[in-house]
Amino acid sequence: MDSMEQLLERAIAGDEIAEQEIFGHLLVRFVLLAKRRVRDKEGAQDIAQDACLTIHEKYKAEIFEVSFEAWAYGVLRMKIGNWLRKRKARSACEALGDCPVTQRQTEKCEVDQELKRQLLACLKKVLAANPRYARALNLVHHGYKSEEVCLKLQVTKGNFYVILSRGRSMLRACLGDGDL
Amino acid sequence: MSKCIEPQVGKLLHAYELNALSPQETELFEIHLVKCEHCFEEIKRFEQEIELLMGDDDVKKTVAESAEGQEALRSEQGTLIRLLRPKRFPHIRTVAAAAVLLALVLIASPHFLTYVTRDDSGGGAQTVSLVANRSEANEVRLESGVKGIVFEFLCEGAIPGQTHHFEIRSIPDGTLDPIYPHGSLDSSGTARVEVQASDLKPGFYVLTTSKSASDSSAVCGPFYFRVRPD
Repeated sequence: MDSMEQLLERAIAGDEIAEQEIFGHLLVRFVLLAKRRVRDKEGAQDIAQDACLTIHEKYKAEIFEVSFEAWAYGVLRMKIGNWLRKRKARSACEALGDCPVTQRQTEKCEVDQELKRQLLACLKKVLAANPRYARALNLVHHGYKSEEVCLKLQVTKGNFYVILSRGRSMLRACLGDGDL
Repeated sequence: MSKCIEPQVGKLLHAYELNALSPQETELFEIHLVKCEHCFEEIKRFEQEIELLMGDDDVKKTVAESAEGQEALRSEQGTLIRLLRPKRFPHIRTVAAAAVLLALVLIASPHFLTYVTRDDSGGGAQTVSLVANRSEANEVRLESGVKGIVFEFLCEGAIPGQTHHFEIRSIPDGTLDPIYPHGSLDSSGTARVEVQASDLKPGFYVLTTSKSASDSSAVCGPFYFRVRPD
C-alpha cells in the first residue's frame, strides 16, 4: 500500500484513483473527529464533506508547512468552528422563536442494553483489579484533565497514560472473552 | 492489525477517548489519528463502549462507588499510620531508627544477601528477582545442573502487548559478548527474561530494556547484577 506522501504525489500528478483513495481515507477520519466535537451524526457528515471539498479545491496549490495531514486537519478544525458558531446562532434564534422551519433535531442514540450490561459487569471486575484506574476514571468523569489527574493521583503523566492503557486493555480483554 | 506509527503519541489514545487531554495534546493526537491506521481502528472499534463509559449514568455511578471505596480504604490505612505515631508509642522512633539501620547494613553487605534466587523446577530453570539500580541486592549463584535463568522484574514504563528489546552486557563493557535474551511482559507490568545459564560467566552485568534495538532510550531499569560461581 502506498504511503500518504506517495498517494499525494500521484494525485497532484493527476492520478484520480490516488485522489479517491486520499479523500476516502480523510472522510472517515473527519466524520469521527467532527462527531466527537459536535455530537451530531449528520452535522459531522456535513462538516467532513465540506472540509474534504475545500481540501480538494486547494491541495494542489498548497505548500504544506508541517505535513499534508496537519494542514487537512487545520481545514477540518476551521469547518467545525464555523458549524459550531452557526449552531450557537441557531440556538439564539430558537430562544427568540423566529427560526426558519428547516431545523434539524439532534440525534438521540439508542443505548445498546446488552452491551451496557456486559460493560458494567466487566467494569466492576476491572475496577476491583485496578484501583488506580478506578480513581483516574472517576476524576475524568468529574471533568479533570490529565495534568490535574496526575496531581491528584501523584503520578507522572507517563504513568497516568500507562494506568489508562492497562485499564483499557483489561476492559477490552474482558469484553472479548470475559476474562481480564 | 497494523502497528501504531508514532507510539509516543499513540499512548495518549485512552486519555483522548476519555476527553482527558489538554487542547494541545488533543490536537497532537487528532493529527496523529489522521495518519495512523492502528489508532483510528482502535478508536472506531471501541467507540460504543467509550460512549457508554463517558455518558452513561449507571457506569459513572459504578466508577464513583469503586473509587470512593478505594479512598475509604486509603483513609483507613491513613488512620492506622496515625495510630502508630510517636505520641501514642514514644519508643517508635527508636524502633524505626533501628529498623532503618538494620536495612542499611543488609543492603551494604552483600554477604547477607548472597541469594535472591529460587529454584523453580528442580534443576531446570532458576528464577532471579531483580531490583532496579541495586547491584548489591541482585546476585545469581550459578548452580550446577541449572540450564536456564529467568530474570523477573517490575518494568513500570513498559506497555503490555508491545514488543520490548532486552540486552545483557558484562561490566566493564566488552569483556563478554552482549546477550539479547527473549522476554515477555504480563498485564501487571512484570517482565520475565530468560537466558541460558551457560551464557553467563562469573562477573558483573547490566540488563537494559528499550523499545527496540534501534531506540536505546530505557523503558525501565537498568538492572545490575552479579554472577557468582557455585
